[in-house]
Amino acid sequence: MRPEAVPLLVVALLLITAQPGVESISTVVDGDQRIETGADAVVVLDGNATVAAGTTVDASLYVLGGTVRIDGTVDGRVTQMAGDVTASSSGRVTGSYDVYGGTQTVADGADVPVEVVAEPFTQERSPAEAAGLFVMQALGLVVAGFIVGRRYDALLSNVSDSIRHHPVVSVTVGLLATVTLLALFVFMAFTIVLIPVTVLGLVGGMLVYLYAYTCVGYLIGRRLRPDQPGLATAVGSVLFLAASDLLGLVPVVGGLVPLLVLLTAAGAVAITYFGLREFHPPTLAAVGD
Amino acid sequence: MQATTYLRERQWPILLGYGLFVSVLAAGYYYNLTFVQLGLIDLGTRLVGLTRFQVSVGMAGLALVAVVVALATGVALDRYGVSRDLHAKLRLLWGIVVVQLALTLTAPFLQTATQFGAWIVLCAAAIGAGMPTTFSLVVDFVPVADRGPVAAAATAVAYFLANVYPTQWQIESFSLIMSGAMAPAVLVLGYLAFGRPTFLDRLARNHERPEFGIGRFCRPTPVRTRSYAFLSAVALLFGVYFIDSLGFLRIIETPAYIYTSWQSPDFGVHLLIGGVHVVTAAMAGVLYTNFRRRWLFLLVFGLFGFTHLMYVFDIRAGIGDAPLLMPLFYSGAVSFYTVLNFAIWPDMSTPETIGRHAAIGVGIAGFLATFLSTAVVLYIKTEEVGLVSHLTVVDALSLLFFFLVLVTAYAHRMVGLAGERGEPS
Repeated sequence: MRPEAVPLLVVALLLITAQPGVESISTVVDGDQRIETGADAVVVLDGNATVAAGTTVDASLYVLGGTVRIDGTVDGRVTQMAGDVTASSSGRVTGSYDVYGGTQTVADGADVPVEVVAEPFTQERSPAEAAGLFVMQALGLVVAGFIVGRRYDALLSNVSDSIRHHPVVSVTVGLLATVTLLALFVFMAFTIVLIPVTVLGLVGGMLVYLYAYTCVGYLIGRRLRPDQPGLATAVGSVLFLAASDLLGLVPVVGGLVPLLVLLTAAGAVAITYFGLREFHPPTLAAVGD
Repeated sequence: MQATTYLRERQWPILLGYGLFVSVLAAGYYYNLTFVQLGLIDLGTRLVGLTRFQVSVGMAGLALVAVVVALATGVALDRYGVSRDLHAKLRLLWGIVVVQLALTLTAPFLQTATQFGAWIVLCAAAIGAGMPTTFSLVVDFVPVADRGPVAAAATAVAYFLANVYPTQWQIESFSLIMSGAMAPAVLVLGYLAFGRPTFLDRLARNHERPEFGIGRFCRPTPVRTRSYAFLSAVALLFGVYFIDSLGFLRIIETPAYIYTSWQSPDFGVHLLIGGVHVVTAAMAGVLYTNFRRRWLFLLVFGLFGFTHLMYVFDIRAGIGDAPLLMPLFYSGAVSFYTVLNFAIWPDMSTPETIGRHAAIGVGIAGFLATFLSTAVVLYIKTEEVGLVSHLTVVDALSLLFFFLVLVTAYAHRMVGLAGERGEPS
């Protein structure tokens, strides 16, 4: 499953919980799959799913990625947030078909009531839009960086020291914690009962990353204004944002470098308990008599 | 890493020692992973004509014999000073590899159950003797500071190779590749054992230096065999191996999981799983060096619990092919505990106890756990317990161990604090 599908999945699961009578969910994650009756809701995250001709699937369909082909009948609603849906002339959807993103190809004769609820975001931005977005992000980081940097100088110092002096262990912990917790939250969400925990967890995770971002800003800014931690953090955060945007112009590696820095910072946040203590790896004690 | 210092100082003999230890450990583990664990099933069922149940009984017997031989060898190595004699250890290892080469060559020609049984006993004896002998090399070859990364390197090499070759789990191809790889190894080991190259003389006294001989957890005082520290580590790794085998033996019986991951016809899947083993082994090496062992145990049990939870969830709610996420997490958990297993026993030993501790650690925690879990799986199968119930039990065990490690860690700390309060100032 692609990481960018996680927010969509959470939204889909929230929609599912709002739908009465849903007690079980099935998922399609990869490969070529044939959707059959068995669950009240089917979530397609990736791969190729098919509702075969002549069959009726008594479930609601949530498309978050991959491709879906409807040759038979979906006796329920279809909600598409991403991916590609193709309905052949024999395809039929008895409930509503709400589109929030992705592409649809509906053949003549298909009984599929497509309704575009929201236009999907376009990936291409004009220079003015890009500049506006940068200014907004920078402003947010300046405010957050200034407040956190000014009030929690000692905490940021501990985290940034770990980023500098223990980058390998920091990136290891950051990567492990991020991947494991992301998977854990997704699987928690599938229990439906734990969706609130998932939402809280994801919000918490985003705050941790924002804090990690601020710590990177502190690390950069401290070199410029060591005597003013608030200002240094604000300036450093904006510089990191600008550097990330510039690096983004370089294919593949450009996107990986800021990600790696952020993973390292997140790991450093974890191993220093948010900067409450310095990280000291165990040292080999002397041998006794 | 200490190795970078040796590299700067151009201490080639020591660096060669690193390479030798990683090669021996990785080759031994690769042999165990592929030829013994997977090739044996094919040998027993296809060539000899036994049922899967009979082969599983044979494998459980192999584990039991290996434990007994390992314990006897480990105790003998320490008692007669072989643990502290590099040349003697290399000669012993050469003999073991020669026996294993002969066993590997003869394996495809086995035809009857009696031959199969005799082969298993000999193979178990060779593996049992090989375990403590291989581990005892560490006190001469690898400095304590680098045992985490070295364990990670051996794990990464063994699992990566096991995943990318062979892709067909048939004894003939195993036998061919193993014999081809072991023949030069026999020559090299023979030269090292009997040719007595000069660089080995320098390494042979390394165990007398504290930075090589005295394990990380033996400082300032050595860990005793009957101590809480040692026995709790044995119990925890026993739990890890037991849980792993209990789950894996059932998963490999489920075509939807095994054919879409470990036995996938798609080589890319093998490469991906092998790559995940490499990355997670490297991560485990870093974590082993930088954190206390209880964190690593928590991580391993947590990962196993979560992975089996994913399997249970997929059985209940998944459609069609199983997602690769589950075997990837599984592989990560396996890499983590393998690194732990490779590093922890040497680090709980001195040159006087390395044979015994490695034998107890690997034998009891590894082989005996596998023997018992195999027996439990066979019992569960005769009781016709469903896949979901089976994996739920595995999941419950993982979470139970996770909880126990948390509680004992906390209680241990509490007892320590209470002790500090009770001491007169």
